[in-house]
Amino acid sequence: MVTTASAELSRRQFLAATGLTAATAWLTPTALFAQSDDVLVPHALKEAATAKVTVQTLRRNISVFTVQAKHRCPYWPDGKLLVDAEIVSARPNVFAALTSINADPSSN
Amino acid sequence: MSGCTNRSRHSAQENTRKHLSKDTRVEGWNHTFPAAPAGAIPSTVFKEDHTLQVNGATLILKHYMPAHTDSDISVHFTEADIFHTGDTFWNRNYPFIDYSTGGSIEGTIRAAEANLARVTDKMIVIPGHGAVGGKADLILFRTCWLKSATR
Repeated sequence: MVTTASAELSRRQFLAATGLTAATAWLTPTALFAQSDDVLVPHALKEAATAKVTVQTLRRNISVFTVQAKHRCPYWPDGKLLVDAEIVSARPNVFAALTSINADPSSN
Repeated sequence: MSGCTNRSRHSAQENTRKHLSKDTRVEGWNHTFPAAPAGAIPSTVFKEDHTLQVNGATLILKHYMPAHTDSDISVHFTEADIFHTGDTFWNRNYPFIDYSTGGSIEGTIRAAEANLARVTDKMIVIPGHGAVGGKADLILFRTCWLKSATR
């Protein structure tokens, strides 16, 4: 037996479909459509907190730390100096990377 | 610029201290950054140029005209011949310009020209974003912005 689907929409299907659409629109949080949501920076800060820090050695004890494509440029040996240290939530991982490049103590 | 200890000293262009001392709204990100805690406020500020001697190395800090923000500086490690542009140079990345703190397209192009005037073929250039590069990458960045600005 072959069953063919009718292209016409029954009254019941129409009511069900429109009802479902209306309910979805009613229940969807308006925040999803709001242009004023502040999500970008909090998300970036959250991501940076666990992002891996990569260290690239350049010349004369100068290295580049990269966190989420953002560069930091430390210099040592006696002191440790960071240029353009921007993402505060990445601080623990940056601190760990600073400690890894030499044995001089750092405090946090 | 900052260190990571409680005894660290922070040096920056004077506008950086001004921005960090109060809440700063960045419209492009739809976010208000709260004022920084007292310990994070730069203790040493300068207007145009500042030279640091750190462990036998010379660092020349130079303020740009407003570009990405109104407080951008470059840092030249003279002995190592490494030039850090901060966010005035995004290597093969589309840059963000912070209009809320004085940035502009014209300023970004002006900063690209200033970077090219100082960078040599042998210099290592550290961008604000993207891979470490050199003069050729800066030329590409400047060229792209000039083309964009004339369209």
